[in-house]
Amino acid sequence: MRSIWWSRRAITLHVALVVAVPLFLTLGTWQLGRALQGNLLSWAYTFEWPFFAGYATWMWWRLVHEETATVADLVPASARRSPGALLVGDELDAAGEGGATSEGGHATGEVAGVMAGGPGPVPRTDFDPFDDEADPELAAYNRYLTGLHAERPER
Amino acid sequence: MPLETRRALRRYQIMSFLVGVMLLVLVGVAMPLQFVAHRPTMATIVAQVHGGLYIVYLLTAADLARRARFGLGEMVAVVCAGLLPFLAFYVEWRMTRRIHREWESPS
Repeated sequence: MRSIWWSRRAITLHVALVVAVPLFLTLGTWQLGRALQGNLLSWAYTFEWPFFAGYATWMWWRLVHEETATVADLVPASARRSPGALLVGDELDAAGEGGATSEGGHATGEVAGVMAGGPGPVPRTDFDPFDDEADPELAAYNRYLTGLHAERPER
Repeated sequence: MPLETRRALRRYQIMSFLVGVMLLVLVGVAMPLQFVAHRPTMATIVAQVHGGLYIVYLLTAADLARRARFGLGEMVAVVCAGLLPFLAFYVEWRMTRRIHREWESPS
């Protein structure tokens, strides 16, 4: 897996950080000077700019680590062997109905979930058939889908 | 939607609304008073209140971003929402829909 620190997106974020943080700290220092000379409003800005610098640093850290996954990264090897199962669509019903116990259905759910920008899953497990998944995040998402399927009424 | 996510969304919505209103007050009322009627007191107060609220707003947005895995565009939108009049309301509306779409439907 290539380093997350050297992708083009990450480099853009590095440059933005190196520009923004010194700029914000300079602005904060400038406001401190104005505040000490008697401009009362500047006191608020004196504390605001360093906070913005910290916030920008946090954003940079988060965005570098949240690399956008490609479909290839998320689809398990078993689904790649049967590409006919990879239907990307809005309806997860077909995947849920026919795919709860088939790997093709899981793959469809994952791919559709990725396309929808899937949420952080809340795993619900009475039993856990996904223990041997190599990717724990994927396993957690599968458990989430299984839990949803289990609580929906049969149609 | 998990309870904590719902709470985080609610906190973000409240702060977004306050920041949006305060910015409109600043730009629509306090600044004309300052530059046209030469009465800068209100602008000074409102600017400080807006600045403080904006910081809290950024914190609530950061909390929501952690839970919903924001991308670059969403983070930029949230930051700019507190800086341009009316943008806060539009961004909050879009963000609410996006969060609900992720958590309330099986897909």
